[in-house]
Amino acid sequence: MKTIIEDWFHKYSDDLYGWAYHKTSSKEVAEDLVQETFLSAVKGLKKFQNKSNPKTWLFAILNNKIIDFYRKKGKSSTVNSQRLEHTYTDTTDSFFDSNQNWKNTGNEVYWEEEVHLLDNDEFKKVMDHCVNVLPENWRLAVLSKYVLGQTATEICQELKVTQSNYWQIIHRAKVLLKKCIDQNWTSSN
Amino acid sequence: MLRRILGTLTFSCKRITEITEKKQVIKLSMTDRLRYELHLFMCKFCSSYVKQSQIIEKALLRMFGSSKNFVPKLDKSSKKNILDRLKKEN
Repeated sequence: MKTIIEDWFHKYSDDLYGWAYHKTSSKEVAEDLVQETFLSAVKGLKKFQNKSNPKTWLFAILNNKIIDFYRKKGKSSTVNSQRLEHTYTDTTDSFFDSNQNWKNTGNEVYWEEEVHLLDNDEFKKVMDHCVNVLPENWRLAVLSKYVLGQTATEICQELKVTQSNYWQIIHRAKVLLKKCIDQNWTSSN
Repeated sequence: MLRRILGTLTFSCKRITEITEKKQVIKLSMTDRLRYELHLFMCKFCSSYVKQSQIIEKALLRMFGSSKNFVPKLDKSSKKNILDRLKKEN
């Protein structure tokens, strides 16, 4: 081989596995992802330039695998997703008035004042639902940023969007999550 | 009315939601920071939004990533399986 890959495996597999586990919450999935990462590394070894750090390179491969995993977990198809993006852009616009300020609906929900929200299973259910109804690209951007901690540049490359587009996606997705929680959290409580 | 004045003096609420994301990675200028803080001080919707936004971020981390205190390791048999699989690829 490829003994170099074996060497890397001994050095980095635990770190990669730990990371994958934290991002997927499943030992089985994490193990699969680590295996796939090293298989990809074997195939792509030529592309690896000795200039870069092998650990960084392996983590980059793993992060792509994790994103694929999130992608598969989502429900919407790509075509639907594009249509959804347009609809959801309009939806987020509709939360603001002509001066771009929040529309005063009179029934604002201040759920941030509730305690132990993060330990509340009902809240988690609402969050899970709200993340899952986001258009695919938006969901991937949000998960890559807030769960994987990827940079804007990395996410732009993966999703093939411009930086300004990326910021639009991120803040609109966040606004949608907020509104989705507003709606679902009150109705269930 | 108050918010309309606020909009010309500082930022609109929509801009606040944008800047709330950006300011985590891009440093705001002194004036922009003042305008941002002034808006939050005067707008209960946005000050609520910023807090909710932080909760959403924490919830995302908790739900899609697990506790950092527990770091699992690959067990020996799994490692052997993967290594065998890698050797086959050779």
